[in-house]
Amino acid sequence: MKLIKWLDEYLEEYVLILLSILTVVIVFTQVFMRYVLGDSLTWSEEVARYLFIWMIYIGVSYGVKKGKHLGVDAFPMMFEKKGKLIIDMIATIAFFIFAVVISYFGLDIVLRVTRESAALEIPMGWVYAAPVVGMVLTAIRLVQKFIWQVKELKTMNRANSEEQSDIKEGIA
Amino acid sequence: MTSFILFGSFFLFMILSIPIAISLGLAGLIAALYSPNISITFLAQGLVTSTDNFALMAIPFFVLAGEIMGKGGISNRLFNLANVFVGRFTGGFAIAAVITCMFFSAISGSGPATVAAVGGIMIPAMVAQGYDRKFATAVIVTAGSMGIIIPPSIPMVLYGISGNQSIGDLFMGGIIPGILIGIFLISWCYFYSKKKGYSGSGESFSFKRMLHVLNQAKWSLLVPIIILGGIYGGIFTPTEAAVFGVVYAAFVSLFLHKEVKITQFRRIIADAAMSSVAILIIIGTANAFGTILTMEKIPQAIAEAFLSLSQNSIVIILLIIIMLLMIGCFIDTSAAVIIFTPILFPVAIQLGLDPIHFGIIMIVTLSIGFITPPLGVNLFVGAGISGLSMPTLVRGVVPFFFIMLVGLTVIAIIPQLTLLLL
Repeated sequence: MKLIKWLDEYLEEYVLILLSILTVVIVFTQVFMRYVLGDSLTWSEEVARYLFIWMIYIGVSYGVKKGKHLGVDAFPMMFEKKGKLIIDMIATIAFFIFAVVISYFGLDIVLRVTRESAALEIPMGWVYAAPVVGMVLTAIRLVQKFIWQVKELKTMNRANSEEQSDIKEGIA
Repeated sequence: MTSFILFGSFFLFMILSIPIAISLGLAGLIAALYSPNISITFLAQGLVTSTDNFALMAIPFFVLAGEIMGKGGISNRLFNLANVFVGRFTGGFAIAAVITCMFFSAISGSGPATVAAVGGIMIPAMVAQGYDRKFATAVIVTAGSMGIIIPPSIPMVLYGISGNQSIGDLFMGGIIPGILIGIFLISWCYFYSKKKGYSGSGESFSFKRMLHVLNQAKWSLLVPIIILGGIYGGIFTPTEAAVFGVVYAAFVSLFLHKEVKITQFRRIIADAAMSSVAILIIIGTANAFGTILTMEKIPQAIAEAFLSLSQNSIVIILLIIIMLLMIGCFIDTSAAVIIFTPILFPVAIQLGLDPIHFGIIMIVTLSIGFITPPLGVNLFVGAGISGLSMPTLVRGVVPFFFIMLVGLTVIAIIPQLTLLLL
């Protein structure tokens, strides 16, 4: 239970930090080797690129958790609190559909791809797994978000009906 | 027809406040269901193939380097330096603030990051000097737009990759236009301050003081020299230069300036990675979108539509600029570059425009989107720092909007400003 709580809080964040540091170290080493030791690395660029792809797709899930995806919120701003929340819920569902479809078709690619990378001969399935893992995590985050939104909607409705019954009592 | 469905559903999703990246992806999914020429597997593959690009990695590294520098006490050092030279003149504090933004733009590749790093210190400092809070905030949010015009610049990396142009050339091309806009902003600060009676510090120039602040700022001033010099001298690729920037920034802020603690790095790295990812995911999902547009020959159709309106290239550029200004009101700058470069680039080429010049025009135009509501990211950051309400800040920014337009016009009309340094 403790583990799940920790993963819920920090999983994406620590993976992102780890991948960021690794890519910096690898590319820096590449420059250092070329100029200081006069010996170009053959694998560094490839590994850095693949870690970078993993970083992007784990980051998508982190973006849902932190609410940091770039969007246009001019239209929902025209609505009251409840209308805004309902539009948000539609957006969550649409995002979820995308995440599930991509996970499904992405997994299909992972299972079928037989190529290997040019320099290190890494099976390309490991690279194509990045969007799949990222989108599965994203889907989980979206379910969390949706549950939260439903709760929020319920509290709003309750507050509303209480207000209305107050008004009715007032009239009576 | 497929492109109609593609565009229609994209706009619908975007209006529903679905993230831009996901709106693009969902529109691609719907188009894939409708058209036999494109499959969902292709879309899923595109997530990897379009981001499997070493040049693209310059983005997270430049963001991270800028983020470390922003926390590392660089802004106040740069400001002290600028202040020694211009502080004693009318409006000196405002002018020094613009120059600080210019310096910081040469370190950071992002507009909002420049506003955050400089504004956090400069807005309170200007208000303490008796400047109107609205004016002080408006100066910084507008000057922050130079973050993407003066190199390094994230949108330039995106434009370079999308239009297959040298990122180094784009960086060089941005230098003079960026300085020009800086000069325009400084002139306005001077005239406004004169009118309002914001006098300078009155201190006379001290050579000793100058040496002192120069010495304090030296490590920060080296950054643009290393990055631009390294790229232009053929020592690094832009990506490698950006990584060098990260390592250098971390070293300087940890060991020389000693203003960032190692424990703060967790937050800095996570935040920087998130801001990069928010842009990069759009590249992943825009891939299928762009492919469908190309298959349906939409860029050519748009080019022809523009050319049928007028044969005069100035008129067409004007139309493109107006269109991009409107787009900039609603869509993030980087996202707009990713989505609209494949569409507008062929138009520019057909008009016989220099691709680097067109890139700079596009980026300067979209940089104005940082200060136009409803989605002006610099406005949000500035309002957050200064505590001003959005409508008040927007009113303060109006004159600056027109100054940016003047700058843009000059840059668009005189291609030599961009191409001189290439």
